[in-house]
Amino acid sequence: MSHEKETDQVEDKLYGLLAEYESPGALIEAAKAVRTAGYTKFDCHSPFPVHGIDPAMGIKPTILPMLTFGAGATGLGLAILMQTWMNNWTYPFNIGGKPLISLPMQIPIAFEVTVLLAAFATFFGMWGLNKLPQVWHPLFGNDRFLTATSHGFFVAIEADDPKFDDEKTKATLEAAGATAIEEVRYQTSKAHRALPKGVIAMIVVSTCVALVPFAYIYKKRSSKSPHPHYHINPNMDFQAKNKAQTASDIFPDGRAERLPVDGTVARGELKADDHFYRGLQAGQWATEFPAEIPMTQETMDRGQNRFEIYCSPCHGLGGDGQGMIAQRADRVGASATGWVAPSNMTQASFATQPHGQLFNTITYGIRSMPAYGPQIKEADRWAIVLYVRALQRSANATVQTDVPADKRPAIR
Amino acid sequence: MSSSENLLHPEEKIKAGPGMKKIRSLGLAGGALLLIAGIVWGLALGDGMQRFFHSYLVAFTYMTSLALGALFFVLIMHLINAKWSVVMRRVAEVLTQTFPLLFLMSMGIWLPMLLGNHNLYVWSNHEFVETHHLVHAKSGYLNPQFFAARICLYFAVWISVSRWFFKTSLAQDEGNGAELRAKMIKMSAPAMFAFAFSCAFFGFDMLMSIDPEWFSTMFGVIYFAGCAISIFSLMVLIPMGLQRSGRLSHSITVEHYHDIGKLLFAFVFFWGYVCFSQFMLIWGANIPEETGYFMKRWFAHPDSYQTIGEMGVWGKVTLLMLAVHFIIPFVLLMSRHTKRNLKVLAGFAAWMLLWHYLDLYWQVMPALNNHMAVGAKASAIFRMLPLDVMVFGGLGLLFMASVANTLSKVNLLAKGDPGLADSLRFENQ
Ligand code: HEC
Repeated sequence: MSHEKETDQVEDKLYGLLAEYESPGALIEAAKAVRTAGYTKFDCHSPFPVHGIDPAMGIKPTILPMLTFGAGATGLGLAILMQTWMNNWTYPFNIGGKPLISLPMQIPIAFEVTVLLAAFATFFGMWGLNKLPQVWHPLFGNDRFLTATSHGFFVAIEADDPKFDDEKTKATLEAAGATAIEEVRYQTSKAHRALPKGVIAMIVVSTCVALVPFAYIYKKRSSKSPHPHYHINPNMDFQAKNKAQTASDIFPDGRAERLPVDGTVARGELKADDHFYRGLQAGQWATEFPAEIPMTQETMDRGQNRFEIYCSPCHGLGGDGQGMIAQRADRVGASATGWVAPSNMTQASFATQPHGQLFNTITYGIRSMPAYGPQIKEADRWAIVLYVRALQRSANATVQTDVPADKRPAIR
Repeated sequence: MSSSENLLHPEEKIKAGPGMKKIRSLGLAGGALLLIAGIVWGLALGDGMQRFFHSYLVAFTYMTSLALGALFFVLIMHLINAKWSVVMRRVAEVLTQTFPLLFLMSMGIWLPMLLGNHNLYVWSNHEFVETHHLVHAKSGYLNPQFFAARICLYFAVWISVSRWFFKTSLAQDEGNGAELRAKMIKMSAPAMFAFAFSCAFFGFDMLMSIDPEWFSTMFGVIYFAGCAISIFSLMVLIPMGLQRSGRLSHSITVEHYHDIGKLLFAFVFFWGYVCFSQFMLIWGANIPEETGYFMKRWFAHPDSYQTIGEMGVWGKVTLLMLAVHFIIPFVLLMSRHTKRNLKVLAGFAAWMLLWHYLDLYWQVMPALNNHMAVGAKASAIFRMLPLDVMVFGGLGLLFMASVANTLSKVNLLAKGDPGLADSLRFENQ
């Protein structure tokens, strides 16, 4: 404290003149008079907003509406950009067959963000334009001024005003009907302007209190307990709906999932084409690719892509049965416990299998290998078959049979 | 307290001039003539008055929305104890006195139906009901007798509520203002309940049931939004008209118009908000029994899967509505300068009244399809007929005559209301 006093220069300064008026009407008249007298640095204070004070004081219309509009427009644009970016690029997700960029579904969020930013701009813009929060003001030290929050109407002219002159200004205020005029002095000490300790304490305490609910939730959600988990939103966590593969007492057979009605086929699910859907030609494994599958580089690339996603973890990138899973199984000695290694599909016995049989293996799996039909569409399965054929051929290739004559010299 | 008459400007005129009676007789004669012409035209079309009834429904629900909006204005201003609007309240009260006339007009809808003409609502047709399961399931509610009874009930509520408020307000002119104001404020709460339900169900019954297989819980609110838009438009135009003839010139100021403009702006947005809410839920859920409504109002051939993607004329009307009924007025009415420029504001008020007609037209006319066989639907057809203008003009002029009649008899301003002083010196910050 003593140290602070030494550096803090205390000086008594004149802030200006404070004049009190009887009524809102008198205040307006006074404001007009002060303004016509040419003062620019003055302000009016009243316990409630006084209609007509703005034009009387010559206050220009605020730019706040512009801020609000600008922020609202920004919010609208941002929200649409954000949703387009999310739905179309970073996380494209087909919802109910709607287009990825679908304006109707973006509107609710765009609306909310528009309102949010506009409201923020209005609220904080108002604070900013009014230079709030203001914890200290020279007028606060004046006892008479305290009534400005209950029944007093005041005009205060600052000493900084170029036209300020103690006597003349006093005369102007008096002529406008002031009931009392006082000089307002204040001390320029820093300690004087500091936030009162009580206010600081209140801010700290209320911040801490505001954090309690979050701390409580965090603790409940992260600590172990013999009781069931704490649910913030139980009706979202436990929805009254049937999930896949669960029981339901609505239907006599007890299934939640329903089978198609007997003798019906869902739209687009008939799958009459044996060749394309089951890899069969006249009841035998197909030896040709179905006509729907073009023999192009694109199909091959697609096949490679799908193979690397779905098959390579077990069978390896080259199809030789040395995928990451197989390697690890070897390392941990899994074969001792009945582990069946993925086949080396480049070996001759598989290379000679008809296309249809390979297709069938993917669709239904075989012995220890799971089925991939539910995950991979027919056309993609055929593309994989095509790629497997290429792998098999490359693994069993000879220079004589597989390399064009003009390219052979390059291999040496 | 000093007599409130002193509050008014000494030269203020609060009685309508002889011109008002002229408007009444002209409106009466012109309206009757146009309506008869419309009926003749409708008969000449030889479609069992089908086109006529659809056109009549648009015009009738339009006129009713004006009166309903006025009733809403009166009730809401009491409910919130508003003082600023006192100088304008009498105009709204006068508008609500059209309900008896509107009740007569409503007979044009339900009387022919009771007499066996099924060309407006398909649900009134026994054969249709028997072959359409969804409509059959609703027939306990949607049948001619119950429908007529409900419409009579709504009008009974509206007529009695609006009469009571009108009478009480007129009594204020003679004195006892503060006590009567308190009474009206008290009554406005239950009256608002009655208004909210009757207005929404009027929308369901009159307009939504035109597509009886379809339903939307939002629909009543959309009809109400139209009522609100039209009253705030009228509350710009009618007082301006009175002021032009030298009435109320000192009492109603740009400040009052500014506030009405704000309300108009707000309800333009409200209309867009509720219409979109209805559309978005249906578009998102994509359930056939709901989407049918919009398919009729968008696609060229709503009942054919082959050409489903092709947008028809109604689709263009839908987009036009989005622009003229929502985006343009929303953007342009946002600024305080447009709302305080009385010419511009009056322009927008007239603009909204015009497109309010198209809004109702859009709701009613595509339902003509319901009377046609599957595959033969011609929903692409958007054709305004002279018939539409005649019927609308006929009902509109009759409505105007009724308003002029009441205006010519009463003070144009609620001079006895204790809120008058505040209203007269009202200012926007
Ligand atoms: C989870 C590991 C795993 C994945 C992934 C996997 N397989 Fe297999 N696959 C196996 C195993 C294990 C076997 C040997 C099964 C046996 O002999 O019991 C096998 C066998 C095969 C065979 C030999 C079938 C026969 O006739 O004996 C072929 C061909 C084959 N897989 C192709 C594929 C293709 C194509 C894919 C990608 C769609 C794939 N596999 C994905 C584990 C896998």
